[in-house]
Amino acid sequence: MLKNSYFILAIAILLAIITRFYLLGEAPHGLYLDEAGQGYSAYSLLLTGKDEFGMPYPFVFRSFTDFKTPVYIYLITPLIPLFGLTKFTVRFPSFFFSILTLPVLYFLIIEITPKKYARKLAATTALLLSISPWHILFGRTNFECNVALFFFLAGCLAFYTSFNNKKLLILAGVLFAIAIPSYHAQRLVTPLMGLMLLIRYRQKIFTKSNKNYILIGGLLALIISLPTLSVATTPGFLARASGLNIFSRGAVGIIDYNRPLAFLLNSKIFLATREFSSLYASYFSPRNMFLLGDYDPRSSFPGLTTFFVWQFPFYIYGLYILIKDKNLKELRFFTIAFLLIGPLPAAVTRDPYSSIRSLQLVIPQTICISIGIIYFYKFIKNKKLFMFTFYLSAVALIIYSLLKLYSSVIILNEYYRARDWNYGWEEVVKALDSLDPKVPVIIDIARNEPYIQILFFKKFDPIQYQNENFEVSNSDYYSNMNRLDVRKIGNITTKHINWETDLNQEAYLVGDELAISDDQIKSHNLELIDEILYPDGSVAYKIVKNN
Amino acid sequence: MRKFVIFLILLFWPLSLYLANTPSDFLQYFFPAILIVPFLKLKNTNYKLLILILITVIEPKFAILPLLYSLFSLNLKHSVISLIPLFIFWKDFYGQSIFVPDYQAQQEVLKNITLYPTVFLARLFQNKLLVIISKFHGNFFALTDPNNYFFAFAPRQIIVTNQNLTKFPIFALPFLLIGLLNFKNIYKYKEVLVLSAALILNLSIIINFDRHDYILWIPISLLIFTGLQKFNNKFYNLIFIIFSLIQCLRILISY
Repeated sequence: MLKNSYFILAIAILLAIITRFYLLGEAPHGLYLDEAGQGYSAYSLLLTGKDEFGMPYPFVFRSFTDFKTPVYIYLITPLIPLFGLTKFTVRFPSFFFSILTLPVLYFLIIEITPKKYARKLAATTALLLSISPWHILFGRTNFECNVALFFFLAGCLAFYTSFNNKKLLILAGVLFAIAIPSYHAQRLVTPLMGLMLLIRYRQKIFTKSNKNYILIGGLLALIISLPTLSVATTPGFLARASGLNIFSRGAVGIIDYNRPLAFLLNSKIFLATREFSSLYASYFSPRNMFLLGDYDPRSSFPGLTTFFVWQFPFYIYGLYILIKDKNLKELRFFTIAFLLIGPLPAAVTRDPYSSIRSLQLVIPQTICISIGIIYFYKFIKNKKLFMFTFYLSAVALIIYSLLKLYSSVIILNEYYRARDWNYGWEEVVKALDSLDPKVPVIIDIARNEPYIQILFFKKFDPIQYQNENFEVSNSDYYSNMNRLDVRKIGNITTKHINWETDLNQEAYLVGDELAISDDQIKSHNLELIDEILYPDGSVAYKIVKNN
Repeated sequence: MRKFVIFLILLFWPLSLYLANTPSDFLQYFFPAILIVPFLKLKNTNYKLLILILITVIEPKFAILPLLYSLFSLNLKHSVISLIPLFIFWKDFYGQSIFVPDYQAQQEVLKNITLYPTVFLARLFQNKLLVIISKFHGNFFALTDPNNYFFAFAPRQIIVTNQNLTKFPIFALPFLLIGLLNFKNIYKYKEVLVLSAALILNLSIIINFDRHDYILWIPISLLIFTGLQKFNNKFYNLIFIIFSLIQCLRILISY
């Protein structure tokens, strides 16, 4: 079984590499502004030691005043000298850590599962994760959640293996401490899961012989967390949480009723409980998991949700077994705790079924599906014909799933979601490079933040950008939320097009079809220089020149 | 207190259905649902089949229900008899089913086919059968969604084609989960499970199951009662009553 299990793990890793690495920098072809933002911040750090706002080594990155978590950006920085500032580079850490997640998960499951099932379950889970649409999406694109999930799982693995090797307690502390600032959701998940594990194993962990390792691990974790803690109360750090959570916005479901009982019917406790419960339950809803997926076009692929439909019966069966079978011991505790804690960061935000904020759920839910498959296998084990059908079906399902992934990720996503992935700015930059450099360029910002993609694709000198664009002083970096309306990138200015003043001088104007319509071209006597088209043939951007 | 909890569990769905519809519409959905009670009470399988056929007569969209139930119960004789109501009401049933050709969806398939590099891939992922399958999945997963029954589909309500009714109190959800885990304790559990499976399958193959899903009122209530039996905590029941009364008042005022 040992050899078989490693063989399946090797296949899982191979499949994971194929599904995540194939056209890594090219599909999606567009580069979303958050990806470009992280890439350019890393580029600026590499060349100047400061981000694009001139802040040396920030603890959270200001970016679009959404204050991005730092770990991913610092991971991109050393890759730029190797691969250049490209789409491939900014997506590489996601890919790399999503592959590393597989062996970590494999060994974690072996640690926590009764020996009877350990290797089978670990191998099956790794195989399912390798073809998981949910995990692949965040393993092919620049999202911090995947990296954070890796550090969290690695921390759990180090924690469990520390029962045999005490020194690993130090590593567990370090890995958990890295997971927390890696992604917003882990600020809640890691401490809660960590606390659960510490309470459960308090007698095993807090012993005299462990004292030194706990102290060193705790101290290192504190040192790693200090930068985050030092900015934890700033408006910038809290911006994300306060802007998105359901408790800070107006309540949903208020009834228009002004009679004496209104205070009861529209009470905040009732409405908040109802909204939170519905959001929390939605992360276990088969309708969301197997049919609808995330409504955000960048957090899903067309025609694919977070799991394959064929996994539904195994999920239900596995979940039932997990709750009922007390012999699963630690696996049961860990998976149920993870299932219950996993949706919390997502359920306190208003978006229904946010696959990015709940990515951690992919692990316990995949484990449930694996348990369902293992128990089903156990059920048919002694029936030869069934066994043959089982293996045949398994191979057929894996091939079908891979083809389905190709269909959704490579074909349909490129055609239908190009706009959502900010397709076209690379082509705009190429087109602008071929034009007269003495003529100024004005790029419209009505519906986009294109300055960051322009900086990225032009690999614009960060020092020049920092000098020409002052947004905020370093002392106000984490607290001032004001943003620049006009940005200078050499001869390019990004701002709202003003159809009166901007036509007074010779200039190239760039905008989408709404910003520069055919009527405007006609009425202002503009010359159409170039049109950038989406894959479906519709116009993405127009470049025109005034005469 | 427990009886009041049971009363509240039973009250929500009929109340919201009645208030959101005209009385005659309400009765159209109520009669098939209430026939489930004698169906479960009776022991004679012939009478059971008769009740299912009666449901078909009241609502032809359930024309395949007797056949599905008989097949799931492995009753060959009844399966053959069940073909009669299906044959009689076939035209009405087919016209309301997901099998009716969908011109718009077929056009979408034809458009998508052109995007694929090979005919094999195009045919595998873009074909007419998948249009039907995706409609079936849409209905099936909506009918098995806890958010449908306890949160009126929130946070992802079905726009236009569904009334998104409040069907059960929010705090009854844990009872349902406990009931599911102890399904063997449900009153006549085998019959309830077979009937529920047949009902869900039947509802999944009609174009719009909205309000017809009221027929699941009794089977789901039984599941919840089983959970309540297993988890009968006075403090929880008190919270349940307070929240459910607020919810009940909201139903009365909303519609």
